[in-house]
Amino acid sequence: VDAKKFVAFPHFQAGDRVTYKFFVGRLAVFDENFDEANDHLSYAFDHCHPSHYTQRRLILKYLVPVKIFAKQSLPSDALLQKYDLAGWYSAIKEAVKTGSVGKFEEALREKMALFVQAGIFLLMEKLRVAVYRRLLKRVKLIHAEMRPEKAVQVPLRYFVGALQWQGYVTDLDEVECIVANLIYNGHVKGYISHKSGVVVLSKKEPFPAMKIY
Amino acid sequence: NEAEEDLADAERWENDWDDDDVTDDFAKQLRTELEKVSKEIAK
Repeated sequence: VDAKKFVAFPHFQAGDRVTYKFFVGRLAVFDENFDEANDHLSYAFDHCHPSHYTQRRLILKYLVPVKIFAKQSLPSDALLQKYDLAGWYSAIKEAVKTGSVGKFEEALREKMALFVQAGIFLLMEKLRVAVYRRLLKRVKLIHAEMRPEKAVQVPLRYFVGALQWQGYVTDLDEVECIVANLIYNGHVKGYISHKSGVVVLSKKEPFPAMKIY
Repeated sequence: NEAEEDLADAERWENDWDDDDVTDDFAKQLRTELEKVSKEIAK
């Protein structure tokens, strides 16, 4: 799309600039280049006149997941309501925010057709990692309050319990695997002691700023 | 005025949601479940 820059970008009409940025932004989404996608789609959204509600809503459908991946920003309830996107993203947002794996799976199932049609289903599915990370973080915080002397040593059985309570059929082996992946991918800092069945978390920044991709 | 018609950028996005607060309903229920696990482990 941007192979040949025959006329300088600012010389085009505002509407064409918005359209161009929207499509370049969407291409970047499919390439999973979220920082770039965020720049293009944010430009398109900000420069699309507020009276063009339908166009702004369309841009936002892509900008919402992109913001989560690029900036760890969740859409405000006001934004989702204003652009009638609560049906798309409210449940997913709540799940990411609270660490509710059950709610996440339910929302993903319910919105599958919508997300597939918009071409963002696989993208949304990637957020599962963010929900696991958030849940583990909250398990750790609660465990630390319950047993301050062992604040950073979280038994994996706690995480098993947290998942099973949400209707997730799982066992210690699978949970060890989930946590090992979180550590391997840099979402959690620490190590697993297989023998004692605990994850020992780093005292400093055990949950670094979320980078999902 | 365009600015008045739309939400300010700060009102559009939430950036501080990944906090240490565990007092919402979900966290309270989670705590109850974790207390059960804790008792199981202690047995």
